[in-house]
Amino acid sequence: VVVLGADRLDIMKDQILEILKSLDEWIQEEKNGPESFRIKPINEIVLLGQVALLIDDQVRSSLNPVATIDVDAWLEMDFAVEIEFKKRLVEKGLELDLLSKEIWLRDNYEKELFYEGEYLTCYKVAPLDLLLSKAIKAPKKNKKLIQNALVDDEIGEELIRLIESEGGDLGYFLNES
Amino acid sequence: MNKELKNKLKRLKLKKEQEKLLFKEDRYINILQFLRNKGLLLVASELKVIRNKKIDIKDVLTLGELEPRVIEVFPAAFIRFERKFKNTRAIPRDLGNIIDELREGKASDYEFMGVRQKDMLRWCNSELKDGRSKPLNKKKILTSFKLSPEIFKKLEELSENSALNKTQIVESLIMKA
Repeated sequence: VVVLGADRLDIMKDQILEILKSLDEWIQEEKNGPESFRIKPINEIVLLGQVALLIDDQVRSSLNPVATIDVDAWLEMDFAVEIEFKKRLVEKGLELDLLSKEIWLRDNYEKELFYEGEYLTCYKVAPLDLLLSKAIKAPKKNKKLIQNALVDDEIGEELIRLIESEGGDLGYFLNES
Repeated sequence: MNKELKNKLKRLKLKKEQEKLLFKEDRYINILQFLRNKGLLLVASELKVIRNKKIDIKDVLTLGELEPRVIEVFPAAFIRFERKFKNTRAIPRDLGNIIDELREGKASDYEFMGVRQKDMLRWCNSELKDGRSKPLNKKKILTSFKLSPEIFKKLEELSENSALNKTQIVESLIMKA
């Protein structure tokens, strides 16, 4: 029995950063290439869902989330850039979730800068807002995850406040079953 | 925070600590590791490497109660790597029916342990990173036809005069129709 090293913990974060850097370089090359096309000067990705939890240092260690391979992301970019982004995700064994646009977040959700390149910026939604979204919109699937978050010393109290203020069913999560 | 809420959180915390211990048991690590290695799940925590150990269906169901995403990808893993699993008699009848329908590419909003059959189908049809097992929707279906000697001879001639085998000839003609 071999225990994988602690560096394995950062695999997901590193992979996403690698994808973003490579995409940024591709945009740069395309803009400067002989057959360059007009790419928007600002290309933005907002990461959501389980992947955004997995790449968050604090949540990763305290909540130990598990994710399917779909990446939830809101994209603000040219179609050509989007195709390249999807291609790079697939190369890493990931898939862009086409239903990402339907994800609900509260109006004043917080996002944190995750990558800032020459032509590409990526944010990840703050863990509390992601957990709140899951608690409100998919409580059944995320019950255990939310329960883990509620008893977490760092985020528990704030999550309780948010669930109550957004009309979520806190009692459902406090039920121990 | 009122006293009742504090007590509920205290009890929940105890329960969560017990569940965390489950995640450290080899039989559950074996499941997470297998699903991760096949590219069906992303896992945040470091995992022990456990080689060539079959997975008991009972353990899948127990782990699925803690992490529904395990149930979400289980049919995809079972359909493609059935020999990795033991105690298949432990598959509940409704999950068995779901798997049978998924094999035929069928899925509805029907749920098992809070996971929709439609969501399970998605992973049955996704490419895995090992590249060896075919997505369900790309698997060939074995069938037979009785052809007249004349047609069969023509088929052989077409195949000999091209880079395609007989199946590919038939497929290309059907797609052109």
